[in-house]
Amino acid sequence: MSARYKRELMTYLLFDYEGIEEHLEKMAARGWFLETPGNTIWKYREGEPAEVKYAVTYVPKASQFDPEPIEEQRTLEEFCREAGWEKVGDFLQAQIYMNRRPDPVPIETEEEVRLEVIRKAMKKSFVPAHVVLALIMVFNLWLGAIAFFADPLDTLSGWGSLLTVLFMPIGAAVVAANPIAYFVWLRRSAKSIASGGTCASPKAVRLLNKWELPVILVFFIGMVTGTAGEGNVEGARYMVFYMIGFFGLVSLLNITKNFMKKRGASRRKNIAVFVIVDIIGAFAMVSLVMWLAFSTGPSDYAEPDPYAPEVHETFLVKQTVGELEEPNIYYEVNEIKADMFFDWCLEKRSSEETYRSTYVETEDADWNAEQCYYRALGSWEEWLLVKGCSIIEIETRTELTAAAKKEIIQQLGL
Amino acid sequence: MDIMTEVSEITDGRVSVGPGTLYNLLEQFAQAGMIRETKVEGRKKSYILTQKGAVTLREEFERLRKQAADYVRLVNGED
Repeated sequence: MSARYKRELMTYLLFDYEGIEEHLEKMAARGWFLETPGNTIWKYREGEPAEVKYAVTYVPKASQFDPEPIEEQRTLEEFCREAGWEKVGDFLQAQIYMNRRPDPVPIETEEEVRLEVIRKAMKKSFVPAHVVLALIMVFNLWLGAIAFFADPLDTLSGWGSLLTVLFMPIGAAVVAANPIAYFVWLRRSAKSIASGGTCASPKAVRLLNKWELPVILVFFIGMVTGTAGEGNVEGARYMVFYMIGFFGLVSLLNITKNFMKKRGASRRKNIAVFVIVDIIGAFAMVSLVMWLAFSTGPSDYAEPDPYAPEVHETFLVKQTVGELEEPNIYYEVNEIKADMFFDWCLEKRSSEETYRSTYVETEDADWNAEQCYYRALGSWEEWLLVKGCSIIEIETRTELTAAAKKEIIQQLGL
Repeated sequence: MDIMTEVSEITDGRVSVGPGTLYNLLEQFAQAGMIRETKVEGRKKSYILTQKGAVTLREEFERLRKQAADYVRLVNGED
């Protein structure tokens, strides 16, 4: 009978040796033994359920780009074999061992030494990678915040944009949580060891990482369906293809790295090829995704009716955008459902600067509005009106008479 | 003689040094100049205590001896 295998997403942080050991022992008790530990996916082989001890230790000089174990890894393996520990595998700087003997001597018996080795190992890959990732997320958050605070109406009226804005701070917090959790853990562990204890247990961040992917998935599905629901099918397709492309690129990089390792390429050569494939692959992926999302589509494409209004609606704002034929105007009606956003949205829209021109509050009884703002942009005239819980923007090239304004109000049903 | 076995034997099994700890300690001691590699046979390595290592060991022993003496004095109510 052929052996059965199982693959699992690895959600433990690199320094969480305790979480990894406990998890592997539970898996072994259920009859699943770790065979290949990857950076993200772990492969298990089925066997007789057994009480097996696992231990995770670290070799700071080790690299995922090494064609074979380095001298330090081999020496450690030899030491561990003497004490009955068999090497299962390694990922990044972590080395995983198992022992079938009852109550074996642990691999690490001095907590101070263990902490120092972990600190050195994390300095090599975990800390730089997570800090860079957190900085990128914070930069994206900053860009998103600028766009959102400049004009919140567009964001609040679309499910896709609303979920994106909600997701960004959550995403940034999750990404920043990992390096922060590590430094907190390092400090707590040092304190505990100084008073004769052991390294601390990063249980909270372990739970966070376990739920990270399902939360991202829910938000992603929400963003895609929200964007498609608003009629922006191309945008939704772009999101789906982008996600597929991202995972495709990650897989390509893994395949490249493993291929170079199998060919016995040196660490330096492997890293150089990895970076080249990453840069070329990223450009190719974005180009392919753009082409697939925007250049291909249903062949029975029908020209839309230019006067049919486009409606975006969430529980916060309903936005209707369209054009009237006679009198010829472009309009945007924003019905604010959540009162608390009304003054803020009005303040942002009325103070918005376009081509150095801003709205000026004016009196115009013809609009029959509670508040009225006006600005001229070259040959364009723009009106911003407040009627009940709606903020209305009207753009036109023609001079509007009192009768035309009444006609507009009537046609828009305000 | 194997260090892990020897430590366990000379302490009547009270102290066990794990292989990971031993590996890292040997590296730290060698870097600090407290031990020196004398022979390499395959993956087996032999070390000897250097002058600096012997002094550090003696100082550590003295520190522990004084602590033990403080304890004895306290328990016996001397001074």
